[in-house]
Amino acid sequence: MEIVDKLLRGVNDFPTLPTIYSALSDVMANPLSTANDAADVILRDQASAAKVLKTANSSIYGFRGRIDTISQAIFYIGFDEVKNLVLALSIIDLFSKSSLIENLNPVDLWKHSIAVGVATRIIGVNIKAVRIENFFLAGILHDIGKLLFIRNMEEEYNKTINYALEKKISIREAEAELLGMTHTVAGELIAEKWKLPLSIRNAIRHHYIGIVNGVPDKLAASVHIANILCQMLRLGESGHHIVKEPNIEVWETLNLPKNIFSTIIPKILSDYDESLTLFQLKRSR
Amino acid sequence: MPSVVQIDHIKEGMVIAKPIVNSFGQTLINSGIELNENHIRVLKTWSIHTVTIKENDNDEEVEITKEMIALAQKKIAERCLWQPRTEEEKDMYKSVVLYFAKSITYMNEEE
Repeated sequence: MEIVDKLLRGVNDFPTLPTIYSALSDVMANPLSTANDAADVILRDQASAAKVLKTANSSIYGFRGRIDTISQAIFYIGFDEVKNLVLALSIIDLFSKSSLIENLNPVDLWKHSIAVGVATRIIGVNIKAVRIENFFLAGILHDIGKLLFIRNMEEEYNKTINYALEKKISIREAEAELLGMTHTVAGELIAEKWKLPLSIRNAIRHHYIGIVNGVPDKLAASVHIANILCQMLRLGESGHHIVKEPNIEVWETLNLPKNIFSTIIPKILSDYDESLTLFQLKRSR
Repeated sequence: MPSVVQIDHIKEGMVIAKPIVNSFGQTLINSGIELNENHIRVLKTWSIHTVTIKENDNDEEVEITKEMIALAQKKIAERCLWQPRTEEEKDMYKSVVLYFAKSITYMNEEE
């Protein structure tokens, strides 16, 4: 099928991860590396270093105004978290430069992604999830497949969104019907290309259902609920005007504390707001 | 009772009774702040049309009326075509409704 071929070529041509990320991965893979080695890698890229510091000091991590150096950031929020943050920041940069299509402004999609990143992390914290450092990144990346469509078939994707709206079906269904590939599959291909950890790949691939091939998965479940919640709150825009019903099975997986939403919604809103300032996405509509 | 005043009629020295929030949900000016010339300019930049002004000391409490809840519910129901089933869904739905009801109180409707 021609469109699928075009998309697969698009995956090949999709930007690679910034060198700083692979350099960090190398440092991390070496058991003799210290936090200072990692800090050195980050400091080679001053723009990233400044953003990492700002974000580490934001309310997202809760160490407001106490982190002065990259080594401290690594010490306080952890090596994996800093590495994922570097990745998230460079991807945000990549995407804010993406072109505009009629029905879905990439900036709005990106705002939605940031909101879901923030919300996924907050849900993760509240369920005391392990490997919490993956939550923000998985949330940020959950719709990355849509960007492949926007980059490679602007016109067709515009039609696909319209088609979903007209037929009152989900964008995913419209994608499958008109493009032969869904953004969740496209997202997984990009995550594979980027060699992201399996748990993040699974969360991207299965975020619409919140379980991974029938197996409960806290990360996929958190992204699933965060996505729905951010759509309900209208934080950014994902192209879906209709908010999907949650998969009832994920509630058991998450086992959230009682009446948690009235507490986490204000936190999501303020972290979201702070992130937009940090990532300089404010005021564009 | 706090009173809603149109932007053209606000004067320096008036005290805000409800936080003024822009379309991104950011608070521009918090309740309790006495308006000055700069505030008024910011409000115009953000196309805020009305603000709620404090008339006595008890005015800072936000009241959410049944009408606001109903309006918020209606807005959400337009986009969520499902009914909350579990305790979590009811909590999530209710919290989102409250958030919208509050925003309706705080800001002018844009649409």
